[in-house]
Amino acid sequence: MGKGRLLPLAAAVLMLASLALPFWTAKMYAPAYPGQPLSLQMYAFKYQGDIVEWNIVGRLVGVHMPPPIPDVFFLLFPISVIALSLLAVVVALTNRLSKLAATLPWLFMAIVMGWGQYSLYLFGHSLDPQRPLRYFDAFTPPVVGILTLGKIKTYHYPDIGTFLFVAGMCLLVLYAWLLAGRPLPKLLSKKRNSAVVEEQYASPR
Amino acid sequence: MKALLQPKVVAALLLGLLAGTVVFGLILGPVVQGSATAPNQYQRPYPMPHQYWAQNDEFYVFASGGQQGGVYVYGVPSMKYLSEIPIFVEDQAWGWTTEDIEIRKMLTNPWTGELITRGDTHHPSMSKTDGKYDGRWLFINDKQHARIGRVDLDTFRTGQILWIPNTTGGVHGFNVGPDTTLAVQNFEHEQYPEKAIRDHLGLAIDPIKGPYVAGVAGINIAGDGTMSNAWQVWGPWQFDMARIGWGDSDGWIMTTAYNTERATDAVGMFQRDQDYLFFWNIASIKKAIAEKKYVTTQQAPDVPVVSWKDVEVYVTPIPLNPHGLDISPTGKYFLTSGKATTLIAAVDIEKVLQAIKDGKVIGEEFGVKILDPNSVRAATMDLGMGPTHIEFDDKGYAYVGFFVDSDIKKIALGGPYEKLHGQKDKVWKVVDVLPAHYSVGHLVVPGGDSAQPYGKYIISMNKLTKDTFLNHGPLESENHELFTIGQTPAKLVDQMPLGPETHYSQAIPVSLIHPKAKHSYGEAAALASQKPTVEYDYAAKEVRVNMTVVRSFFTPGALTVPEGWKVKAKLISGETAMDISHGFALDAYNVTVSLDPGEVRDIEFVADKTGVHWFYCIWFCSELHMEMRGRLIVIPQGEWTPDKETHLPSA
Repeated sequence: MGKGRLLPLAAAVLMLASLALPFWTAKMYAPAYPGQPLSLQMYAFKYQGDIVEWNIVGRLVGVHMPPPIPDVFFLLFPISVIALSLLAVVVALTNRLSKLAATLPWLFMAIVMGWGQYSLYLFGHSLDPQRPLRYFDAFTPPVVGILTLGKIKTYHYPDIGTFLFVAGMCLLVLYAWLLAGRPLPKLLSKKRNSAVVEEQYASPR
Repeated sequence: MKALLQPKVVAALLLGLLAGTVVFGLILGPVVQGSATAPNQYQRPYPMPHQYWAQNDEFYVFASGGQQGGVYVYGVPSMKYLSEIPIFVEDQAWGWTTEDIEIRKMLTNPWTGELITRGDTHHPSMSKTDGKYDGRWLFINDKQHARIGRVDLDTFRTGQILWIPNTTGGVHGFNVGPDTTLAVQNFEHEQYPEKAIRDHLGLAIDPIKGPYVAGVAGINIAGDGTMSNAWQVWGPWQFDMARIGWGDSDGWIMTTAYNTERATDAVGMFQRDQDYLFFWNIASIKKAIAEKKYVTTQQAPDVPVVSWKDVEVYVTPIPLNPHGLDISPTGKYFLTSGKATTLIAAVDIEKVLQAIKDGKVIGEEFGVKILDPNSVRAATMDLGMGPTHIEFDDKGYAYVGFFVDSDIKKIALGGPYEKLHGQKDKVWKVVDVLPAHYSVGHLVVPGGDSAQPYGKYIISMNKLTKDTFLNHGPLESENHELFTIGQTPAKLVDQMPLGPETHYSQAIPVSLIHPKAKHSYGEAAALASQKPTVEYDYAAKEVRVNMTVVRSFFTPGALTVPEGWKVKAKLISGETAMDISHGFALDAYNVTVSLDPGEVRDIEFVADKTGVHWFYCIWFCSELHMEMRGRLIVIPQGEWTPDKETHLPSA
């Protein structure tokens, strides 16, 4: 097995490792919490964080944590990550399905981000009509970005789990690129010519 | 592949992996306020940045409240009042009321069943490990009712009150030993005790004319801070100050008596030339108990009472009517001040032990050997009028307060301390005089009564304030004055009024308290699982309620009760956020309870007033604080029917 197969193997490891880490984090800064923002983290299989405290204050303004998302999401998410990791291993062992392995994770991430954004939309548009405090009407927190409501600022950003997963995705893209016999971008190559690339990465088809 | 293993590529990949999270964390992390500059560190920076004192205070001070019945807490050098911790006296402002069953039990005399809500806190003593402050607990006595309170320093809340038996009250000197397993409490006010004690002592005690007797109580402290009465030693004298020795004086308890005359009036208590410093051998007390040389009383059948005749005890004369008794950091010297004189005696424990061995005795009184003062003293200093208490710093100096002279004299100690201060020609002499405003009672140097003084500051706890602050009526506050002592002369930094009348204090580094102090009594998940319940017990005529209290709702929000029934409510705070306390104050009833984050309180009262009574939250908790209220609906007798019971919606 050529050393190049370390790429999809490394991708598999990174993707599996991401399961233990948060994919997405929301942090709320408000005058009532000086130096101690409320945080919410989304893992592949659950939400975690200051949910109790968020709901104590959220009740007063009509919101409920965590953002609504069906339980099946937290079943499909880890299953998908594991499946994609296994696909990367298959690529490493057989040099097959590299293009599929390179593209499917991107589709997966797009679905996750889209689903997450929809969930946040529902979160901000399902305010309790009997909420006592009417400081704001419906709002939509961005999946990535900042939501400002008066002096309350909530930052939403991809967390370390996403970075590990994306790193794995990039490695799979790179491997597929190399398997296709394309030259490396200048940054990654050291005086290579296409003949050398072809020799090193020729697949045993 | 090799291209990927270039150092710059690997570095770029790693940075890329971490950059997003790290950068977000740095951007979103709280901005830490830096210290503003000021001409010197004791001057207030202008404008002052937020959290300046939270970041710059070095010590907590826990000052006895005296008639306030608890302790005051403030920071040094800010001299900012932080809080009060009620112990022996109800204080609804600081969440200490007897509607709470646990607090009521603590304040109820275990022998008479009487609820006592008056107290007089005098001598706080910090828990210690190897003679050094460890910041776990603060113990303090109630002079009036002979009790010891323990404050838990993670919650700043009283955790236990121990009642001391066989005395009507009037205790004074109190001290926790170097390893927090034993504490001692002196009986200052002479007693006419139970017959069992009188017979055991074998002294003639006339209940009307006196003279009376008194003792020293030993208190065991367990590993979790639980106190229990261990033993008592009784004798002919009363005792004022008490110290448990450490280091050079390990194994001994020292006490002073200002009324060795055994008089019953103030003039009579000053008629001798000198009074006594007592040395009690702790092992001999335990030996007497092991040999069953004790009695017990009807009040306290578990507490052995030993006669002074059955223990190893010595006395040595000290200046008349001693006020202070303080031990130097190595445990070698005991400095006592005779308030009727201008004298301070420095007694050396090594000389004491040698004198005992060599039989340097000049007489006996009540069978107690009197050690020759010339054989046991390191020095006798003539310093000024009305000496009171003494503290020590980390540079080999002692500080003596003076009530009449209204100042503090700084003394260079001798012996092993000479190498610390390097002033051999000034040993046992005054090196500085600090003016006090006015009339010093106690002094406190951080750690100054322990094996590890921290030095740097001294606070003069002045008894008279007079013209120091704005006029505020005939009953004046006390003045705590802060000086720096790292240089000579000492310099005044600040003055702070506190309620009358503080006595002694303990000052401890912030690092031993601040990181461990809790903001909540409970964990969020556990609290969120608590559910409200209501139960009507027709046999016991009680309504039992579990009431959840969380922003901004009481649940149940309304409670119906038949007139005359007892209401037993468990108030459960669902909060964990810092500084979000709630409370329960009931209109028309004598019921006010504070509820801190995560706290659970059991309260009970009788619903004896009919009608609709609102209960409301007492601390501003949220925008809905005013609306955070509920109803207690008391139905008159004869009008109650079970269909009026409160029912909670099913989950």
